[in-house]
Amino acid sequence: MTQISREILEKAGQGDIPAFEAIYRQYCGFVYNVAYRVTGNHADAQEVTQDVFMKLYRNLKNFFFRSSFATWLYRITVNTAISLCRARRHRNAQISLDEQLIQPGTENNIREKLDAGQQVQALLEKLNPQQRACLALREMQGASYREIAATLMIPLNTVRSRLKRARLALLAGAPQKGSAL
Amino acid sequence: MICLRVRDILLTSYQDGSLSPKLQIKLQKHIETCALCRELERSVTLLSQKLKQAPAMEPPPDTWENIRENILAEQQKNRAGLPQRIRELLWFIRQELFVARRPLIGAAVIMILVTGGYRMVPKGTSEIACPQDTECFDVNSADTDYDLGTDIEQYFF
Repeated sequence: MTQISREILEKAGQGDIPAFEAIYRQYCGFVYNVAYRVTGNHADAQEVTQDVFMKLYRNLKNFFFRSSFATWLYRITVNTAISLCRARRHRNAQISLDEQLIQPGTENNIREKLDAGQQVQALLEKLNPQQRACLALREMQGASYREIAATLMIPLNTVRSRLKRARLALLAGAPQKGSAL
Repeated sequence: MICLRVRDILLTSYQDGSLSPKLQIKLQKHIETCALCRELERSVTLLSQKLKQAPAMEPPPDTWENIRENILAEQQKNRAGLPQRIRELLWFIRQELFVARRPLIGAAVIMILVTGGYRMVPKGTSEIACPQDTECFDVNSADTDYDLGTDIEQYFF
């Protein structure tokens, strides 16, 4: 992902809306995709995206370029998405389509009806939000282990173990939800 | 190379492409001979492909409009809020001064009373001067007849 110029960031930090729109256009895809992979639905992904960019707008003037802007944005995105998942987990007790997929008898029938994107999302639903965030960053955004560690502020070995558990869970088809929450 | 180690690599570094060529060769040799590890390698690769092939999505078109409206509303609130904040600050200062004023006034009154009493005594005199328009009570010229016509005086005098 190409980095946005410092000049634009500084302008946006001073409240310049066209400069802020340039930042949005550059990063909205990433933010939305990660949010969707972590939260599991479009409405929540949109809410997270809006929330992330509002946080960015409020805090951009306090960004002193000591770290990478992209890493900072990734961190806000992942944390906001995980927070929303936590809030939703307490609120919702609904049986989702994805939970039905976990049941062995119905899995194959429903999968056939889903497109590729939904299948991936159905797979990701078997994981907890932290594992989903790691896998989304690694597999879909192509982030390196170091970038994931910097984004989530966790050790490199934790990234490794989360990815390993996530892949194992997906391969085994066993639900691994809620273990880290 | 044991299967446990191979499984660990297949689920982590293998997907990264960060294996050294030497380790890569060892891994390939093991996979060729071990059916279980070969199956795992195939499954992991398929899973990775499936995740990578997931279509990238764009946020709904109204997302930016919502963000823009929120930003404008926040900017307007900040602008409108500035005179209000100044008013609040002035009110706070006024309140603080009012609270601080009462003990100050009290202290000033006490000071005036104390210092004012001393100023009424003219310098160089030890007696209180008589006012010009009134007569001073002369002890020597006072009547020495103490008979005021009461029983108690009869008893004592």
